[in-house]
Amino acid sequence: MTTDVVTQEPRSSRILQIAVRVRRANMALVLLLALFVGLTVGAFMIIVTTPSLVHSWSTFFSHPGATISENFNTVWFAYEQIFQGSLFDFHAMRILIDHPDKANLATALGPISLTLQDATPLIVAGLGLAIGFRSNLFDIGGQGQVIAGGLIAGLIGFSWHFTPVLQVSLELVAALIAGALLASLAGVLKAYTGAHEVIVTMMSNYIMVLLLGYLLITNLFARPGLKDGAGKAVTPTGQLPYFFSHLSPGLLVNVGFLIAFAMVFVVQWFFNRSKTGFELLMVGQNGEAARTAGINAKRTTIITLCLAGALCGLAGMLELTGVDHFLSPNFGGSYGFDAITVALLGRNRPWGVFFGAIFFGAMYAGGEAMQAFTPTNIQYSLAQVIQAVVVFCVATPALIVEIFRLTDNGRFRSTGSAGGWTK
Amino acid sequence: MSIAPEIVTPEIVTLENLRQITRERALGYGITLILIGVLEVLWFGGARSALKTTIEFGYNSSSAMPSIASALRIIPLFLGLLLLAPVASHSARRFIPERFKFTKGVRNCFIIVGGYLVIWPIALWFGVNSGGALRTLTIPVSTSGYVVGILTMVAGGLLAWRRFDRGASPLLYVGLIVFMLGFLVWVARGSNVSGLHLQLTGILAAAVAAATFLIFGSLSGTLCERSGVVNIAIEGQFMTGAISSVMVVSALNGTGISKLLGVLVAGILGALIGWVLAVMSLRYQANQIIVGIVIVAFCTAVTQFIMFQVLTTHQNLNGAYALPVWAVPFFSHIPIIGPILFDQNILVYVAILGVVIVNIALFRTRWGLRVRSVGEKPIASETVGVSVARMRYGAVILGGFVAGLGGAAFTIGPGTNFTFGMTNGYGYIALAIMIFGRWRPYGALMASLLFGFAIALSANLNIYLSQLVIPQQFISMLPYIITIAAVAGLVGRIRPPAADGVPFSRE
Repeated sequence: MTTDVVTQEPRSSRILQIAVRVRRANMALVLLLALFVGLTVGAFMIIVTTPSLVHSWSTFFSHPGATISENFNTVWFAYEQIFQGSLFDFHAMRILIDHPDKANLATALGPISLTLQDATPLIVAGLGLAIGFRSNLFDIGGQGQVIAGGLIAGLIGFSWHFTPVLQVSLELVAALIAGALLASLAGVLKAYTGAHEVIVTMMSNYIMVLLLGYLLITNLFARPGLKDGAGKAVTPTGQLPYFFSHLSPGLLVNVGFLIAFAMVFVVQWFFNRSKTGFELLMVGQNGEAARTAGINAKRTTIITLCLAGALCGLAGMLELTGVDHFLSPNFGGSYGFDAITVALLGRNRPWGVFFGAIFFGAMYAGGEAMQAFTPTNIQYSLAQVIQAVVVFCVATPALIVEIFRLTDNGRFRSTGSAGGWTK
Repeated sequence: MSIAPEIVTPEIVTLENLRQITRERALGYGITLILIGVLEVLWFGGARSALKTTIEFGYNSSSAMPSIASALRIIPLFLGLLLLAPVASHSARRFIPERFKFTKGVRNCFIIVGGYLVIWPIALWFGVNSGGALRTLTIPVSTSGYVVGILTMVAGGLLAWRRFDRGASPLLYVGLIVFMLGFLVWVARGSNVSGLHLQLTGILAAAVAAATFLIFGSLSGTLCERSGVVNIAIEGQFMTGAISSVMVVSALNGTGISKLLGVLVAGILGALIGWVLAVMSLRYQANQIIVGIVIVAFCTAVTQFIMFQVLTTHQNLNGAYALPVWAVPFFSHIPIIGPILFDQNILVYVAILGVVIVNIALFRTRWGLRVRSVGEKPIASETVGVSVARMRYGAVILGGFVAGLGGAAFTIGPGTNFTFGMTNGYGYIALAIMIFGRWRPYGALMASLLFGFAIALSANLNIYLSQLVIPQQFISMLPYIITIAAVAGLVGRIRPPAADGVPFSRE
């Protein structure tokens, strides 16, 4: 009789029940709180590094209101720029509705098209790395593989004048193969000698950057007469066409976004329906059990890294033929590294990676807008700080659960073995 | 009919087993050396016979070994040989009295003092000591290629035949360094005519400077992994240490105490990052590699932000202040190696001392035994009452401190400004060095010197661009390619700590 009383839920008010439900951790809440933490850290960075704001704290005790409003305003302006530069400028939207013409269309929808354009290579590369992560293989050679894809795509792009469909498909296939070949080096070494893929892929990044630097001064790649290290331009038939260029030249979304979007479905299918994808997930969750079930671990390792590299190579091709149109010594930028964080942000799920990449694209576009906004004068790297903090929180959700005293039943206590170097 | 499943015995390391591994490794090293020797004969020996290289042993003119009369030089030589004899041969050791303990430390003292006493008169006889003037040495490229190549082949053949354990890895390191020296001589061929002398001392000094941060990084990796935590975040600790030390020293205008403070701040921030890694991987049991990668991303973003937001507008915060240079008495005067090894900034000595201290701490103290046991079999340690979490926290935080010091070695060590991207992946190379050195401090030291030489080599070949058949970029790839070769285990089977990277929970 007494036990019944103990197990019975204590009666609580409606509000308390809601509070309990809200505190229960789920991914959306964790993401929201991660963003909040990221923005808070970003605000702290802004305040600490702006001399006038640091100075304003000296009058904190005499004029607390002025200090707080000054700090808040600066941070608010900076974040407003990020938002307007990446998604919507409400003012420009209203002008567009009042006077619908091409110029206003570009100012209103330009930011969001820029976000999508920046996100395109990240979606593909992030998907690739997510394939590796799901199988517990840390391909951090995204940068090198992006460069490999870009190099091959560029070579085909500026060498020939085929019909656009043929040339673009050739570039696409070649970029996939180039990325896969580069990553297969890490795969083969991992499978047969036990070399840890993190170090091999990391080193291949530096090697590819140097190789790019070398190729851009050879006659094959360098633009004749130009000594600034820029490569030859991809011929118009080799470029990815823009979608809305007939509406307004300021709208930058190209066919690459469509390819990236399709890749999300392909990877989804790969994980959920294909035999290789199943084997790969199994190896990732329990390598020992997978081996007992008769899965060839070596083969799976090589295939996984090849797929990861292939998608990174494709990202390089999309970036080159869709955006840059010519190679430069710092081609690829930070896409390779950001793809790692995108994959972690998306928790290695195809749609998670998709939205994570769009978040990163928005931070690129918004960060540039923020840097261009002179009154606050905050560098673009702030966006990267926010990204890193958000990813940190999402990669270790237990931290968020702990900080905000959320309740969870062990769901977010991520466990996983990093494994030694030679296993 | 047996239906019992086949029992797979776990790999137990026995003495026999270990001997097998070392013999295999010796064979691998020997074959590698023979291949290097063949390459040297074919490549460097194949140079046109008329070509010669002038090597320049330039060193600080203030350093000269104390001069003694010609007749008396035989005395230090004799004394030195007397000290070195018991180190070299067993039969000489019989003459040492029983009561005198010939420990490892005493042996090292004998090597150091005796070596100096031997080098001293020899340097005086050869006249390389004459007032510290620039000395040059002109050697024919082809012949030296043959000599070095055949010597390497003989050494490799001996190693492959006798398969001795002691001295196998030093032999390989020496062989690789000699190969790179031969390459330098080949690159600078014809320099007796062109005047582009090979500045050997400068390149070797740069190698030691590059080795410094690699020593710190690989020591940090060794400490962390011996306790069973993979520290991928060394790159981030390097960056943070590099920028913070420069900012602290510059903010205090480079006074003496500020330099000490700068080094300490670099170490403490590194330890802080180590603590974050420890909390994430021990308390929350997150995947250590993911945490490491994210920490590096965070450190990169923050240093980049501080670099462009603060240091571009306040350039006085990014000054070039160097740590004091200490010339070790007597030893800094030895020709060639003196100014390279014994006339360096304080951090170089801290690094070498760190190797010795970490080696003693890991292999001679109770703390070290516990750290290693936690990294090999945590459940056993926990059973006998050693707190796995506490040992790992300690090791990772200490490792972070060491890596932070490595960051300081980028900037205030040699006295350069902070530039974004100056760490250049050396944090990851440090991990490869740790593997190459087989998770041992002395191995890390030797491998760091080797990699440091490769880095210095790739950075110092600009004046010979016309001589290089290979483009500059490919030479710059050298450290990275060696790293891949190292982790691919081309130099033998390696065994990491058994619980390396495996989270541990009591349940």
